[in-house]
Amino acid sequence: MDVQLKRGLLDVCVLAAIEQEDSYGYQIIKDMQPYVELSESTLYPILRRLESADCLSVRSAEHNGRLRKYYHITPQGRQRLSQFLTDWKELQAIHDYIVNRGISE
Amino acid sequence: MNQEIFLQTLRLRLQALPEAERERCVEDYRGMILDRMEDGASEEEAIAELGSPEEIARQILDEVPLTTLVKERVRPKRSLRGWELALLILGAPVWLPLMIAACAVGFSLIVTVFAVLFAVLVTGVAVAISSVAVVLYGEGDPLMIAGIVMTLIGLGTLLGIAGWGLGVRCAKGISALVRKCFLKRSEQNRMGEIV
Repeated sequence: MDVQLKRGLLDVCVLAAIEQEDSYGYQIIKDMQPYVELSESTLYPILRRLESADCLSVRSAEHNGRLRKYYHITPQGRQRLSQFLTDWKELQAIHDYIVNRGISE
Repeated sequence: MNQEIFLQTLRLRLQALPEAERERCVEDYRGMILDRMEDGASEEEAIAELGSPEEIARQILDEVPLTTLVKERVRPKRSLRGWELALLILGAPVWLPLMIAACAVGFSLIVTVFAVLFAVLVTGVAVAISSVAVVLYGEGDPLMIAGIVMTLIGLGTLLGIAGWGLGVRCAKGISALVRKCFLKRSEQNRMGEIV
């Protein structure tokens, strides 16, 4: 898959993983596992990128005598998600057009 | 690989990052190891699943804007501004001789101190040796000669010890002073990296 495309898709996946409730790194990986195989080394830069883009915020909470970082989606992050769904419809239309022209993989 | 080695390697690979940023990454990865261990993985397994520190660092550095990296690397060696450079070059006829003179004065002071101390040491040795001559060629009361010899040996020993001791102390003092100057500079550089 195209690197840029995959990058954008993974961003949205991570936002979707924290959309319902705040989550932490390893939990996000486990949640995504059935759909997307992801390791911490890939996830971590994504989280940092989304944080600097204000799509999520980070808070530390006490867990087993240490601080664990939880990621929380921001309104901007939600907007990014709904933007993706809109974009996807457009992509779907393009895809349908291509397929209807009789072009296959 | 255990946790500390893993994190230390990661820290080294993230040298290009500003210190605060680097420590944040290391601490975040420490948390990820602990999260996997709480889920039942051994320390070894948890670390193996995270990937190699090299790969992790590469992924992190790929995301960092180049300007941040460049700034971090360049900042300690602050380049001179135009007018500072001009002043430096134009002022060379003034500060260059002054600097050479200052160096020469310092050097001559050191040489003088050591020459004096060396002279004291040599005098001590000479005085001690001269007692031999008194024994061999001295005329008069044997008791008086014995007295003179003892005085000379005592005096010579004292001078010798004084010259040697002060010399060693001076050498130590000067080397400490030089080291202090250089240390200060490297400390300032280190501060520059952090700020």
